[in-house]
Amino acid sequence: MTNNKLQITNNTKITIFKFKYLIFGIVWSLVLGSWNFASAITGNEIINKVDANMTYGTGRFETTMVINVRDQVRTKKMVSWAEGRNKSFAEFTYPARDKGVKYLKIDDNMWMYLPSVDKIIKIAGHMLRQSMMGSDFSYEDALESNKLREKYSIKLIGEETASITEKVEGEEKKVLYPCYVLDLTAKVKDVTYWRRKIWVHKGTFVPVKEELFAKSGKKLKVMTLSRIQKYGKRYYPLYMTMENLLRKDSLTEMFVDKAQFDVRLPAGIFTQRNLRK
Amino acid sequence: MLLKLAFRNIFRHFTRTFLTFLAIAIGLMFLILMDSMLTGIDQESFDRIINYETGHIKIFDRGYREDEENLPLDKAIDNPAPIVAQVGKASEVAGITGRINFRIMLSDGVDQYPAVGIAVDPKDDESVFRLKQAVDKGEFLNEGEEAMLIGEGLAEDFAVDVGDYMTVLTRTKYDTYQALDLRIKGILRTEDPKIDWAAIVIPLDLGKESLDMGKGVTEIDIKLKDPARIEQFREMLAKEIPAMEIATWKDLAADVLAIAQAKRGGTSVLLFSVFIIALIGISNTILLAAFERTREIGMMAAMGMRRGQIVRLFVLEGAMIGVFGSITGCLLGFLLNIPLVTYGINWGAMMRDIGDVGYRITGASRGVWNIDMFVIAFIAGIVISALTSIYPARVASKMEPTEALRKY
Amino acid sequence: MFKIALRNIFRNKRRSILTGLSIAVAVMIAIYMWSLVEGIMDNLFDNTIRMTSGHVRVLNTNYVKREKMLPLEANIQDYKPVEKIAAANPDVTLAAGRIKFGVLLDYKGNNKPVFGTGIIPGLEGKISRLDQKIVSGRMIEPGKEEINIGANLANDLGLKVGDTLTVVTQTAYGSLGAMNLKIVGVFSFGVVSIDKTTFFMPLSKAQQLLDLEDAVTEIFVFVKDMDKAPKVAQEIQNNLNQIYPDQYVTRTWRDVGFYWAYMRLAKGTYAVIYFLVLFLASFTILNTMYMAVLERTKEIGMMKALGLKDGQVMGVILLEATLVGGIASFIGAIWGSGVAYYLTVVGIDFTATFETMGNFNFPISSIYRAIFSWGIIFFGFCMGILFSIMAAIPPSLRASKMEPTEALREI
Repeated sequence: MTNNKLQITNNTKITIFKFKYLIFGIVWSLVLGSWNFASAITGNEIINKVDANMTYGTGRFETTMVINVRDQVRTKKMVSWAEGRNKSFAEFTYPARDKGVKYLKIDDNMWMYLPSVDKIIKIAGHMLRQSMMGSDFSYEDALESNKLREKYSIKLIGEETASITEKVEGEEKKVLYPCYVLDLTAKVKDVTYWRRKIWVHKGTFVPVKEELFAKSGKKLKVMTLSRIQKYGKRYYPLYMTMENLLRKDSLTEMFVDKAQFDVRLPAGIFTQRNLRK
Repeated sequence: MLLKLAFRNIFRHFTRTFLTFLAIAIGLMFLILMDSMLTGIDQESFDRIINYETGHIKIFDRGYREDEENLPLDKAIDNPAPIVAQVGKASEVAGITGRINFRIMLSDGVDQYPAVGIAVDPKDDESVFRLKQAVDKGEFLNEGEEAMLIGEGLAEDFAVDVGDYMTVLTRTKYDTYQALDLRIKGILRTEDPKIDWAAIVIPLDLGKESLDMGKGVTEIDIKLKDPARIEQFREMLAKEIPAMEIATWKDLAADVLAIAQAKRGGTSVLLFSVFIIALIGISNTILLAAFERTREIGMMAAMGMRRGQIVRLFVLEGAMIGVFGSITGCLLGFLLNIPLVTYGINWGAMMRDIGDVGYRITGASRGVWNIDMFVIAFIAGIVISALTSIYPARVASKMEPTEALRKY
Repeated sequence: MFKIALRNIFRNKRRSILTGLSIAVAVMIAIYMWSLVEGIMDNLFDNTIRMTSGHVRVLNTNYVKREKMLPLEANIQDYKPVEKIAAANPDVTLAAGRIKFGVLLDYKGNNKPVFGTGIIPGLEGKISRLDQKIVSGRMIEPGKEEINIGANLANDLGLKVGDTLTVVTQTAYGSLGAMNLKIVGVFSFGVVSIDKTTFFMPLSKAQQLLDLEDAVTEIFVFVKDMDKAPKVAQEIQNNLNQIYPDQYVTRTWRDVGFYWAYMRLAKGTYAVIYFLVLFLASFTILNTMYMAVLERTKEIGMMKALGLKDGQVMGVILLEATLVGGIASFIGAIWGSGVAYYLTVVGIDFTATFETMGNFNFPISSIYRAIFSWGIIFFGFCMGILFSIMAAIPPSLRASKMEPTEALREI
């Protein structure tokens, strides 16, 4: 905890300040007989920090996606650019079968380009529910993760150390992350997942683990982010997994092979025209 | 006078009379029973649809049917209670209930398979549908249970049985992911493939809650006491609840109806031929008998009876035999139709004795009570007998008495 | 005796005709209805066999369990040797690899499920007979990015020959496969479920689209005698197990759903109905003949006076019944086969009715056709005679027991 405090410049003072308050708060509430944990840092505030961390001006990434379904392993590679949280462009480069397939996302809209037929397809309606390239991510998942504050009421319910399985150079190891545990419950009706549980790493404010639930409370998917690397002021996870609990032995991994921030974006990259190029 | 003579004639040629009478009775009985059986067979396929899928009439929200393939939850009847209360009061209504139909993926943890979910009200679903009786293994659902019934075919595909758990994956009305782990409480065997091979059933309250439907249902189902009055009832409904869309089972059961239409043509032809055969049988006996009485006719002419009287005599005889025959025929038909309607014929069991049918199809059908047929048969018996008596009487009475006497 | 019977018949033509009439009608009905029902069922099976099940199919063991999902990954890899093993069986006339896959076509904002089949065009003549069903354009050619779609499908999508259809689907390995396929021909099988939801494309291109190199999803096998299919299926599976243990299974045309059972049930039901109709007809004969016998007391008396014994009298009457029944059955058979023939050629056209119906899943042709079967005709004919003879027994017995004196007294 101490190490991280030194690295976080802006937030440190506020954190210490808030901790003083916390002690006051504990005493005060003990006296009054009510325990209000939220007077320290609130769920919303944590999410704000998560967002702040994940928002960058521009970025370019080279990623390897590994899809594990039962006993099959499929590997794909892609290059992507992003501007803020709202614009992104991705192009698959491997295998030959998928090479040239491109995706464009602007705000709530997503398009896909298939080189074999030279066609741009808008992903809308029922298509959104389909999985992306056979992975455990659905198009919906990609679109909704920005809207947490709009759609959910966020509560900090405790602290826990999460054990995340990380893969580096083919080797697996378990890494411990002390986290804030947030419970998100839908406050509007049109959400995809009624409830989410997020473990936010206290030091880096990277949500290292997220569980997605159906309305009945059944856990549907588990996502993890780890191998956190510091880039300037930000922390970026280089290893991501998504597990679809309803499909047996189904796991998708994303390895970020290269990440660059504040890069110069190619001109006209977030356009449909660029899909065709 | 003629009447007395006719009466005496009948008993004089008792064997002939009896044979004619028998032809009429058996022929009519056959006609009635055949009609009952064939109509029953046709009806059976409709019955299955009516008893498990459509009821007699359904009420939908406007716009639901257009999109029906997708089973849209957002085009539901949001507040069914007042409609149910209002419509349920009508005297023609035998039963009324609400259901929710929704698309699901059924999962056993390994495989997912698309299917249809039906949320039914355990209390009053049986006033319209026969789902409860179709539970082949296990038990029917109760309110408030977190359990499901599964069609026989699906259970076989997934190799699951009563007591096993399955996950029902679906989306709520607002498109939120929903997943229900439900215990299989019973296995359904309706012989309707749309259910046995493609559906699971859950209690209505569980459905309303899990799908975030509030008080809403996707359809209101109605069973009528007298299905023959279905169109009048539909018109009345349309006036009472103009905002809703109303569909009868005929609207809803398109493909079965198509095949049935085809079959019905064949059935009519079959019945008509039975009628013709019976007709031939009756006229045969009358003609034969009458032509053999040429000598008798000759004697009557010789004794001074006029042609017209002779013809009338024969017609009277024919009619009288016809009356007796018709009464007996209808009575026999009535009596034998009772077990036909009550127990029906289990074609499947019959076939099984002959050879392997293959799949487990019962294929039982019941007779029906078709009053029209009884009336037609009754009248036909008398009319045919009377009419066919005219011909030979006229022919024979035209002959010279001496010629007639000489004939044998 | 024969001569006597013959003379008796012609002596009173009216009586003979009346006796035979009901049998003629019954035989006619039985023959034509049976031909029609048989024709319809044959059609159902034929369509199912040609499009879905073949006589026998070779499938990946894992495919069978999840067949409804059309799982492409559970395929037959390197299929040619497998095909050869199946073809080697002496009862097999044809073994051809095929790919069956599902596609969700985006149509008016909704997903329209459609089925594609990858075929070898040259062999289709013996399988689905696609070459004969083309109504506009031509059949696809191997190795080209071409497609044949059903007439109803073309209508629904607003496409015609010359247009291009882009097919996007998930490949066997989770990628997205897409191909622009030129519509070179539109087909019509006259079966709504086929014309509305299926299309054909060359096998090699399907393999390319779906990432199925050298693989197929099933091998269609046709045999000489389809009733031997189960035996052949077992043999093929055994042979395959020797080289590819437990990898492949076979399925026959009878395993498809419950059609088989349903059809047999329907056939059985109709058979019972025919018998009932014939029974009524024979009762009519019995009645008529009995009446006739009573009237012919003098005739019978004469016969006995001439020296005929009781048994012979019975024989004469029975012979009469046989002859009359025979002629009547013959007439009924001709009549019935005429109707059947008409229905074979013209059929009963339900096209209009079926097209308006939405989801029609039964693979039945829209035009109901009877089949022309000498077997059915002969059987109907024989039944007619049989029932005639049976019906004649009681009256002939009565006739044989008549006393000559009784008869002669009538005069």
